[in-house]
Amino acid sequence: MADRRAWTRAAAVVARGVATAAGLLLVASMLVFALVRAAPGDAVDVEFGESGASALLSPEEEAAARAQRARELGLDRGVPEQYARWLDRVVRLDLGTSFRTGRPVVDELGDRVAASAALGGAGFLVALGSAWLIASLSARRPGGPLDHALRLLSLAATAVPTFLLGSLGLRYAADWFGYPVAGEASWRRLWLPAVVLGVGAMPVVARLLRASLISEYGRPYALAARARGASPARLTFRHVMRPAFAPLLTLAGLTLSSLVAASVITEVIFSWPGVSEYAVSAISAKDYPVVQAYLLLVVAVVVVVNRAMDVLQHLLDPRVAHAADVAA
Amino acid sequence: MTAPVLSVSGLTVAYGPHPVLDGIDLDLVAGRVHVVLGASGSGKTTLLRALIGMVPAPGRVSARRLLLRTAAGEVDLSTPDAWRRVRGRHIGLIAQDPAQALTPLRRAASLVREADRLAGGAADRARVEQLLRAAGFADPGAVASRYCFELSGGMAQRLGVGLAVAPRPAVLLADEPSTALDGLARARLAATLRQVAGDGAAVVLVTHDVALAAGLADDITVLHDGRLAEAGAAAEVLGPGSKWMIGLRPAAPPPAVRSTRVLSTRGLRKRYRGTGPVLTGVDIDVADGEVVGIAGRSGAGKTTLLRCLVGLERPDGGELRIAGRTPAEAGWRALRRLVQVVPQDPRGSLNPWRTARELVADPLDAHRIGTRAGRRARADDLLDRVGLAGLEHRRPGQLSTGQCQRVAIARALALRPRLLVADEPVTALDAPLRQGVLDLLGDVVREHGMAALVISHDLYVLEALCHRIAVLDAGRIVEDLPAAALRDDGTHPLTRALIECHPTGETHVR
Repeated sequence: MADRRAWTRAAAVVARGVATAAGLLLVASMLVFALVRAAPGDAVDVEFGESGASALLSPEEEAAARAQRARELGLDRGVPEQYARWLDRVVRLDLGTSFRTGRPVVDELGDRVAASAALGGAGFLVALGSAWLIASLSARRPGGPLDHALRLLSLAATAVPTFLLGSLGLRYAADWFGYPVAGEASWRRLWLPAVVLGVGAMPVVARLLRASLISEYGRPYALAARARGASPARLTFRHVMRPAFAPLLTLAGLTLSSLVAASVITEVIFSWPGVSEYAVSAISAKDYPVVQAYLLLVVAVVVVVNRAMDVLQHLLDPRVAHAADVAA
Repeated sequence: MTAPVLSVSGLTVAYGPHPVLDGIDLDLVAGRVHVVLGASGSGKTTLLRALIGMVPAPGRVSARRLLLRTAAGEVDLSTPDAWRRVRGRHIGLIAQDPAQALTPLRRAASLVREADRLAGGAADRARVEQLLRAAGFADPGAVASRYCFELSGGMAQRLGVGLAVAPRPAVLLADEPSTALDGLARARLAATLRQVAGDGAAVVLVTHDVALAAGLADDITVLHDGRLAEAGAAAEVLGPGSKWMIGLRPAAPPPAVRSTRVLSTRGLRKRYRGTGPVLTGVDIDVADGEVVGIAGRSGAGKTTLLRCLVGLERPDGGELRIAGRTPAEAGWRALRRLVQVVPQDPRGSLNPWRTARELVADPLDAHRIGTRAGRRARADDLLDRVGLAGLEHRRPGQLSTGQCQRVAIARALALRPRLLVADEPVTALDAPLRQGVLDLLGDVVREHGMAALVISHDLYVLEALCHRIAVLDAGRIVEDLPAAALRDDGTHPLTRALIECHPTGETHVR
């Protein structure tokens, strides 16, 4: 009975979420479009600069060639018109073609999205798993030796930059475990960048979960559970963990979004063919269709993940729904 | 006399250099109810924690002897492991606030199953059902799959007691179990404790509820500053004239009443989504200068009524007039100046970061009344009036609970409201402090000639303060009589039951 109520509520949350997400994406697309074009220089400048073509052409010929190229790319029209044409295609799921390769952006990004999702997802699991372990160990005796040791570990994980951890990891993993340094994206190559990503994201989650656990241990219900004979492990995992973890879901969602959509450094170091790495090169080449598609993708990931976390929170802690009722 | 189930001698607990408990000797005998009385800070709670081996971290426990006798033999309780083996199974605990003492995100049946398994029971479906029935749920199926946070206060109480009693512990500890209860639930709890003792357990009841203690105790221990102040059979310790009886006698009735109505409701209705109706049609009038009490058991709708009256909740129907105007006509901002609340939990209702002076001046700031300096001066006057002169720079953490309640009263007076609404104003306080706060409330109401609505499950409190007492049941007023006439003329079954739970005069002192 309580479950059916929770599911109905969750469904309502999803429906509302889809509607808001659509609106949000529209607004974001305008911003993205304007911002991308606000930066000085465009794809034509980059092409002519890189190819060295301007040295061989007279100024008139160059101006004509540039105008010709701008017409091909659709850059000769006003920004509002460009936007309208672009939006018209996007709603039909056509994200345009890359300026650089001439291939459809959907194809170019498609493969990479899968690679990024695999890496981000795996990194997220590593972060969550290690944070969960570290938090439940250190919350057991706050201020004890284990708590201090784990605090140091968290500090170190925050302080060591990704590129250093990544490079060191790559070197030693190659020596000790025969980790394939180069090659296709594959499951065999996934674990190391996932660990590097996860370690970077772990400390914040671990620290907050530890604090949340400690405060839940002090609640009367935890005391009562102990008085009924619950062992420390039972107390942690059967009584305290769920209420302690529920408020962290929002943070977990933000972490997951950033791991999926914005792990540039890790992707570069491990030459992992993900979206972030590809987006950086597109930005420097002023490859507008790719940059726009990437930014839309980021917004979509953030929105979807956040909504998913809201739903999850309703299921994990139905008290949230009750509180919303009273506030409404 | 049989050998005690639990023998404690020379029990000392210290958190810092000074012991909180100092050389306590206690012998708990099967079949007897042992009451521990004491003011806050006397070490009651620490004693209880020590008796179940759960003194919190920096605390150091030492004892010459801590011995539990079970059917299987004697257990020396000097190590954490020994405690872990007996906790729950041989020594049970009923927590103070049952609603807070159940893991909110577990289902009722799941907690029962766990408790049974930890006590070595079968923990199967039939067993869970049987235990729920034993805990007083006529229809176990209806409650089994509910999350504990969804249980009402009464259900949580039954479940909490049921969980502690289920393993048939040799020693049952109860920590202020009646604070959150209305008279009827309290009577039921007393019956349960009596029955558990009758079944052969030693019951330890830590309380400041002298009425409950007097009705149940076989033996009484009084703690003062961590030492045994008095110990002995109940009749000896709770004799007539004992200081423990303070706060239980009705005070002098308050003064005359004028005829204009400051508050008037007609057919006030309210229901929350997913629950049954909470208020089903409340008619109540409060005249200027009149003090009206609302009595009722928990779940009757007392708190919802209060929330509707001060605009924290929008009623679904019916009419609400404050000083003759409805909220729709006058706006809540204007009406809130006329109605102020003395909350139930004084400490929880005070922002811990602000000083007493800031807290009292807060409503004046909110309504931008007078100059800054004027507001401060008024706050100091009010603090002086409630007996807190010189404490204006203290924060709630540096004030006792009684003092916090005085700050809350001063804050409610700051706007010179015409109606004061007090929600269980002394429930959170120890018996010796209650009389002081009740006197203060009576005095300020008389002095300012304001009206008051006092909500409580404690008939003594209402009789001490009110001209008129209305009884609320299932969301409507079922009885509305002058306070002096209630005991003689009250006819509704609930009124009779309330009166039975609150006997007059000496009858509850044996």
